Amino acid sequence: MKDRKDEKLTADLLSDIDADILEAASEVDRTLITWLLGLPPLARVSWAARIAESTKGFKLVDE
Amino acid sequence: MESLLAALVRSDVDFIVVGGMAAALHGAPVVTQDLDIVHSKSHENVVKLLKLLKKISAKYRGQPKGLVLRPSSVELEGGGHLNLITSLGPLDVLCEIGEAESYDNLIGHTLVFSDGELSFRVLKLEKLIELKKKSPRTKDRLMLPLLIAAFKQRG
Repeated sequence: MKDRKDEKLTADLLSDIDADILEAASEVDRTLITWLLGLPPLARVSWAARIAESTKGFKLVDE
Repeated sequence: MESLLAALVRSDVDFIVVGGMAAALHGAPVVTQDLDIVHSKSHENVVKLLKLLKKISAKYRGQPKGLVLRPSSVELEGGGHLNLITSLGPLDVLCEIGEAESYDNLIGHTLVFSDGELSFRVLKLEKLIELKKKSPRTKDRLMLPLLIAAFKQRG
């Protein structure tokens, strides 16, 4: 029952999202996500800030 | 950036981490140079936040050369976004996000992250996706695949 509820929540959350975005999501390298989640929270913060700093001028996503 | 987060926690400010840093905390490989927070607009909290902002020499970013604008309690109690630079790094203090959602509306959509002695609230990944989905900004749409991938990875 819980699984079905979770599936519905996921379906609702991802509804109205363009197919090209969902396709891009499926192509994201999840190795990096797994690695990030293995870090303590503050180390994730540090990683995000330091990579952004080192790639100034190459920003892809956020600023 | 960690110092800025630590300063907010140690100053006992009620806030929620949102934006790119929240995404990274959830494992989405998003890089960002600033910390985005939504703060409680209670009088007591605004006083604590303003005291910290003064201590870390906060001023508005992007002002003409020679013009220094400091944040005030009136702005912190309003509905706008304060894009600041501090001695500990860039800080975006957001009174509301999305469709006028404030700290009080968002607090039920947060998780507490702890690292050593520091604990802080972060907007849930589902809520981040919901907000980015509705955003008209291109950079938010670019972040969506990374957020969705992190969401699916979590299972």
